[in-house]
Amino acid sequence: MILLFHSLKKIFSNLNARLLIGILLTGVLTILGISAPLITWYPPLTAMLGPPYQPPSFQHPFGTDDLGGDIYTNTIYGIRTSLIVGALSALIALIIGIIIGSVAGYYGGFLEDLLMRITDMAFIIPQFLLALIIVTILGPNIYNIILAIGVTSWPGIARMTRATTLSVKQQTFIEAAKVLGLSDIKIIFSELLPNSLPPVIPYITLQISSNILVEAGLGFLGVSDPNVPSLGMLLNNAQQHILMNVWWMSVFPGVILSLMILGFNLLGDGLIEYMNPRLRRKMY
Amino acid sequence: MTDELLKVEHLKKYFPIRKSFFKRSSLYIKAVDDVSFIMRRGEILGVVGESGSGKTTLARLILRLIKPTSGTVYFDNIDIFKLSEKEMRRLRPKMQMIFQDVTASLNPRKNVRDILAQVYKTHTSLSKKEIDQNIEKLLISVGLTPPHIFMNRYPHELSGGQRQRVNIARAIALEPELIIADEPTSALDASLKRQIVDLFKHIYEERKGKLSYIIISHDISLIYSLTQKTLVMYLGRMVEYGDTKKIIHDPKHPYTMMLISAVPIPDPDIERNRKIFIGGEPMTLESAFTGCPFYNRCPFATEKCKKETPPLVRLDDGRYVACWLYS
Repeated sequence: MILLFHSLKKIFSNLNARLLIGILLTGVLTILGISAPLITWYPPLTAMLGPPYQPPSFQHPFGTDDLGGDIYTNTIYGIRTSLIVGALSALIALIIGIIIGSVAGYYGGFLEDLLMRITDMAFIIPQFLLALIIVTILGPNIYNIILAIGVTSWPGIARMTRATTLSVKQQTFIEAAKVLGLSDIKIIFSELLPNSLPPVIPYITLQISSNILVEAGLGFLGVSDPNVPSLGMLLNNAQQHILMNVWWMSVFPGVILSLMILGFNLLGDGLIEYMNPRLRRKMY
Repeated sequence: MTDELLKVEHLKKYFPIRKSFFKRSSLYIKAVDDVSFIMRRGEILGVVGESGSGKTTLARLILRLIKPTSGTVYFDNIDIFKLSEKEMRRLRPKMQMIFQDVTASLNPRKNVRDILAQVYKTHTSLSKKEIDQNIEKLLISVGLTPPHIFMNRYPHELSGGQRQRVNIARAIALEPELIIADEPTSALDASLKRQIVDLFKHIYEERKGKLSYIIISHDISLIYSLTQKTLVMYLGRMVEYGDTKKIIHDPKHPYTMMLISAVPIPDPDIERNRKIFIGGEPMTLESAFTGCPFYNRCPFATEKCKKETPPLVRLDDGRYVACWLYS
C-alpha cells in the first residue's frame, strides 16, 4: 500500500502542476465536446426552445438567448467546433511548417535563405487580419475558416523545425544514410524527422490554443459559419445584447473559452517543462 | 572488372575561412592538398596522420559526400564527380563507410532490424521475410548472436563493441567492393579492438580478392596488422606512400619517423629510456605557408625546405616520399 502510494507520488511529482491542470482541463473539455449530443437535450442553433432572455434554470442551465435558443446546448456544441477547428488548423500548420522547416534546414544555402525569408514575411503579417481577409474572400464556412487559420499559423512551427533539423543534421547517421544511397526525401522522412520532431510537439499544443482564440475572434467579429455553433458566434450575439443585463449570454461561453485556452496553454507549457529534464530539475 | 579499383588524381579540398559575414577571405584551410594514389582490387590501404591531417576529409571526398576543390576520383574507371545524384546513389552500395563515432552513426529511434532492413529496402526488391533472413545471417556473421535478440534492440541498448558490429553489418550488407573504415577502433578498449580487427580480417578473407579496405587511423599497430600499403598524411599533403612493412620498419620521411617513434611500447624499461624524436605542434592551417608544411618541426630542415615545397618522388624501393632529403 505504501509502495503504491510512493510510486503514485513519484509519477505525480514528475508531472508538474501545470501539466496536470492542463491535462485535466483539456481532457474534461474534450470529453464534453465529444459527448455533446449525449449531454444536451435540445438541438443546437434552434430558436424558440423557451421564452427569450431566460436566466439559468434547470431546463436551460445557461439560460436562453434573444431568440429563445438554449445557450447551454450551443456552448457545448461550440466547444466541439473550437476543438475541431483548433486541431485541424494546427495540423495544416504543422504539415506546412514541417515541410518548409525541414527542407530549409536540411538543404541549407540559398534554398534555406529563401524559405526562411518567406517565413519571416509570413510572420510579420498579423495572422488574425490575414485569416479574416481569406475567410471574407472564400466565404464564411467552417472549412474555409479551418483553412484560413491553418495557412496563416505555420511560420512558428517552420522556424522551430528548422532549428531542430539543423542540430540533427550534424549527426553522423544522416551522413551514413547518404553513404547507403538513400534519397534526400527518404533521409528527411525516415532519419531526420523522427529525431527533429519530438521537441516541436509541445509547441503544437500552444498552436492549437492560439488557433482556437483566432477562431473565436473571427466569430466574435461575425465571421463564422452560420450553420455551425461556435463560441465566437455566441459571444458576438451576447455583445449585441450587452446593455440588456443578460449576463448569462456572455459569461458562460466566455468562461468556457477562457478555460479551454488556459488548458491548452498549461498543457503546452507543462509538456515543454516535462520533456526538458533541465527545466524539470529546477522546479524541485 | 579491371584490376584498378580506385584512382585518386590530384585531389584537393580547400575550405575558405570566413572572417566576417560579408567578407570572404582569401585564406583557405587546405584539408586535402594534391593527393594521388591508385588502389588495386583486393588491396588494403592504411591512411595515417595526426588529427587534422585531412584523413577523414579524404574519405568523404572518395565517397562524394563533399565536392572537391579540384581533382578527380575514379571508382571502377568511373569519374564519380561527373555522375548525377541518381547515378551516384546506384553506385553507393559498392562503396561503404564505417564511421568514427559508433554511436552517432546509428539512428537512435530505429532498432537494429530497421537500421539493417533500410539497406535492403533501398537497393533490393526482397520480400520482408527474405530481408529478415538476410539480417539474421548478417548479424551472425558479425558475431551478434543470437540474432533474434539483437534485432529488436535499439542502439542505446547496445554496448560500444556491439554498436560497431552493427555498423560493420550495415556496411557489408550489400557486399561492397570498397569499405572505408574511419578510425574503426578508436572508440573501443583494447580487447574489443582485437575482436574488431579479427572481424575485419575475417570479412576480408571471406570475400578475398573482391573486397578492398581503406583503414583510416592514427594507430600504427592497427595499420601494421591490417594493411598492405600505407599513406602518411600531414596537413592535407601526402608525405609518404608505399608498402606498409617498409614504411613502418624503415620510415624515410622525418614525419613518418616521428609518428613511429611515438608508438608506445608495452615495456616500461624501454619506454623510459627511449627518446620520442620530435615534439611540437603542427603549423596552423590558416597560415599561408610556402615550402614544406613540416618545416617548423623537422630536425633536418634547411633553408630550401622553408622556401620550396618538396615534390613527391619515387624511391628505388617503390615507395613515394615528399622530402628534400631524397630528391
